[in-house]
Amino acid sequence: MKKHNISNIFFLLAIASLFIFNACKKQEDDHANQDHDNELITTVRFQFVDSISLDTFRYAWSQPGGPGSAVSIDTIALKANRVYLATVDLLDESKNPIVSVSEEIAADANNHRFVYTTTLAGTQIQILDFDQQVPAMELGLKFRLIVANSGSGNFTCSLRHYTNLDPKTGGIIAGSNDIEVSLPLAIN
Amino acid sequence: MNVWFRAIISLVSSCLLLLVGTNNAFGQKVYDLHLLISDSLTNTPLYGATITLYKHNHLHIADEQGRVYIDSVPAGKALLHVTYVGYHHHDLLLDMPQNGTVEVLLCPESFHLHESVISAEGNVFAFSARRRDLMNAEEIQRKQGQNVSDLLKSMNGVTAMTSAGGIAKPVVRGLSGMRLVTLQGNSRMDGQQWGNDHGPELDPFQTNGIVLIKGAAAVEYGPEAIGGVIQIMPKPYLTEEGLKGSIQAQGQSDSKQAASSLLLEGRKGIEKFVAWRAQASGRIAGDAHAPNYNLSNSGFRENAQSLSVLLGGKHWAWENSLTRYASVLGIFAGAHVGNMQDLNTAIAAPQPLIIRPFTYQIGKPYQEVQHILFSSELKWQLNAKSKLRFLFTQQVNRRKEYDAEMVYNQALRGLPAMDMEIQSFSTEQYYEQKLAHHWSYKLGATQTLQRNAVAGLNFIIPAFNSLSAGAFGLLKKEWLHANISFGIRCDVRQLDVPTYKRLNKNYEYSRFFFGTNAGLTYNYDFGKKWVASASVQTGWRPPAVNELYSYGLHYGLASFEIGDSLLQPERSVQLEINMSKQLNNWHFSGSFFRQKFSGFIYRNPLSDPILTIRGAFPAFIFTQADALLTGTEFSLSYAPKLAWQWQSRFSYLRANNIGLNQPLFGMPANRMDHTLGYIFADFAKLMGAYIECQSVWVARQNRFVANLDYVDPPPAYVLFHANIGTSFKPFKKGEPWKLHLSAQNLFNNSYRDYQSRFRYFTDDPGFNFIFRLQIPF
Repeated sequence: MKKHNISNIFFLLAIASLFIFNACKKQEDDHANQDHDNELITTVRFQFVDSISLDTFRYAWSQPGGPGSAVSIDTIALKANRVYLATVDLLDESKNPIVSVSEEIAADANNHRFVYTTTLAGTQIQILDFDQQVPAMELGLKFRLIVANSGSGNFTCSLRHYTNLDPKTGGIIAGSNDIEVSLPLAIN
Repeated sequence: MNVWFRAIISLVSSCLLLLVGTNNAFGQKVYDLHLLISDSLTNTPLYGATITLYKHNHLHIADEQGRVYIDSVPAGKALLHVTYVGYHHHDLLLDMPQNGTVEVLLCPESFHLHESVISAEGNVFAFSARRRDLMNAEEIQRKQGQNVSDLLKSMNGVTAMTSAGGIAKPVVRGLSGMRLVTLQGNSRMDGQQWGNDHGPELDPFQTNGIVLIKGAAAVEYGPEAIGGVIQIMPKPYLTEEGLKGSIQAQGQSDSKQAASSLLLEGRKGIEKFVAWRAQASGRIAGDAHAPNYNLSNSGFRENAQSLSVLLGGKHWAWENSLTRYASVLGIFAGAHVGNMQDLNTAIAAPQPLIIRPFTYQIGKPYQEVQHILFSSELKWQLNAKSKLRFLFTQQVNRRKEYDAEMVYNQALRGLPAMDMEIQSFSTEQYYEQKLAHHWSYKLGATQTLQRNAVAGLNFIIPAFNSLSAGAFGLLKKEWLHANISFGIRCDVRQLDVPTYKRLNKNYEYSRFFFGTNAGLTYNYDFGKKWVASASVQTGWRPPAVNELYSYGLHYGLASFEIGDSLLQPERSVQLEINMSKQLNNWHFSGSFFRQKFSGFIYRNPLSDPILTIRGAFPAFIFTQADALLTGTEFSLSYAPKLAWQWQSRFSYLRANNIGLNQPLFGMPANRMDHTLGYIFADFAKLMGAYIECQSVWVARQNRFVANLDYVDPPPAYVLFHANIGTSFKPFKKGEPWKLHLSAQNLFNNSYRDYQSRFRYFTDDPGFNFIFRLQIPF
């Protein structure tokens, strides 16, 4: 009986030791901080092309030092009674070379949606690109900005992010915000 | 100790009355009981030993020959509690009538090597015996919920900070996290306690007793015990040879939860022996359910294993134990917000924005936690008056938190947002000795090395190494009706944060902390069952790593947190007064405390939000101010011989930031509860059957600073619970099975608790039916 009991214990100990060694294997050897070369979006850059003059204007919202650091915000200066073809690009300018994630967004279009709003009356926004869903929904990497009146206001861009459990078909209220930036708008 | 212990007896006697179902109907036959109380080693009679017969609530004292005579004990089971100053207490269950004299042997505290302490007494030395509250195995079986905090919540003055689903953190008199020490057996648990959504890594099935150590007794546990110590007691080893076991099964309707546990234990030998205990348990829970909707992604899964082996001889005992706890916990989907605007939309909505059908599946965001603890403890009796104890503990806690955010970089997909592994090694040495004239002392030293590694996409705290060492001394003097204890402890801690890069900048820190805490407790028995105690103690706590070095966004609650690397340790002075009185079947106990902090560390909101590419976020900075916590707790119970039972409890807490002259944020609301119970006489195969109804009233937290929080505290609420249970013998042989059924939130009321982290988004869970069955074999 005693022998039996003790061999039981060793068997249980052997099983238990599996847990410990398993656990050890997973441990990282160096306990220093890893270099956090992680994803960061520092900049939202807009490009506006005047449909008559074909002049190109670039404006950006950027925070090169990451969240909590200084912010630089351009004023979007455009002309009244014009139509602009616009594109948006999301960049990580803290890396060298600069990384753009716009392609990834295009590739995962079914889970993303840019939403643009302005506070200046008479300004219209039309989204020009769509995702691969049936029926297709707006994506918003490309859009048309129609400016009627002169004046000043704000231009806001937000990027909604959806998941399979919280899909894009749920509308703007679903998903969560990956990006939300606001730039002053000056039309003359 | 004896004095205070009697207070504890009376405190729990009402509970025990509910547990030990015996015959007590009128007109029953009564018998005489003769006892002889003596020292287990020398057989010397113990003059003055006290014997409590629970059913009678009468105290009896042994005469010069150690003899006690108790008349009119009813037939059936009688539970006796025998205590004597300087000896371990002894509980004894007798079948009445008994022929002749029953001999009760008590073990001297300084001699007997207790393999494991039973919940009632706590540590062998019981430094100040200033134990405020405790739960025993029976009570735990009746109240077992989905986690240890569920159990702790049923103690007066303890609440839980919950996060819809399986995560709950205990809060003792308003203090939690880094201000509490959790002991598993004698080993201190070290994990990532700083997180408000990081629950303790403990399996409720491995919990056989819970002791809440408050007051001067907490001095022994060093800096973080500033708010108290929660000690989770394992099941004691078998005291007789053989092989035993039990199966426990549990089901809960609200989250369609199922859990079970298998325990096996054995022992070979009595003088020289091997005793062992092995346990494995598993639990699976789906989404919890509020009265009107499903709490999506609040399911969780956990499994735990433990193995302990005790080798013992006449003067030594060596225990090795290994426990593993692993869980995967879903984070409530409705709480996920990308920025301030999302947060405002979610708060303004009357119900969560995301409600999906019930599922057991856990999607992102979720947490994956594993905790492995190994301990080796050697107790060695040097002679009749002194003993040594050595403890080595090694533990590793791995926590991975997965965000719902999807990253754009393909190479980083699937990685946890936060991945931390903390390893702790600690060694402890204790020496205790009994001196003449009821003086005794205990000396101890502890050394701990901690290494935290971080990986993952975001990181809130950096990797660090910390080395702590402490030494303490406790001195105690006992008289027949009083005892006094004094303890002092000094600690040093070296904290090093190796170079890390945060947003293209390198940081490196090194801090050294030193602190002393001390405590003094005096217990006095006024006679006539009036017992009182007073204690004064100081405490300190060095700032935690998150308070020092956090810098970044917490997406979960849309806040930007900023640490302060120059924070100084917080210190506190506490005064506590307790008293209890028993009068016939009535029992009253009350406590009052006042704890003054200097440099209390808390999160202070900044006036302007922080602008990020995701939008604006409210920002908080860790800062320090003086604070004052004042509170009181009362309980009144009526536990007569007749089967009706009554208990009422009340707790009140007032916590102020003295620096700003405003209430502290997030403190538990005042509350009271009432329980009406009835214990049935045994009939047929049912033993100890009981039924009880409970109402819990939680006030609105009216002490808050306007516009500091996203929303004002939720209104007061009342919940009703009902419990019913019994032991029964389905077979003639073998031990009785135990069945406990509970219905929580009977009327399916919708409510939001102030301490629920998701109260901004959702109601708390609704009606819940719990089934618990224990089958010993």
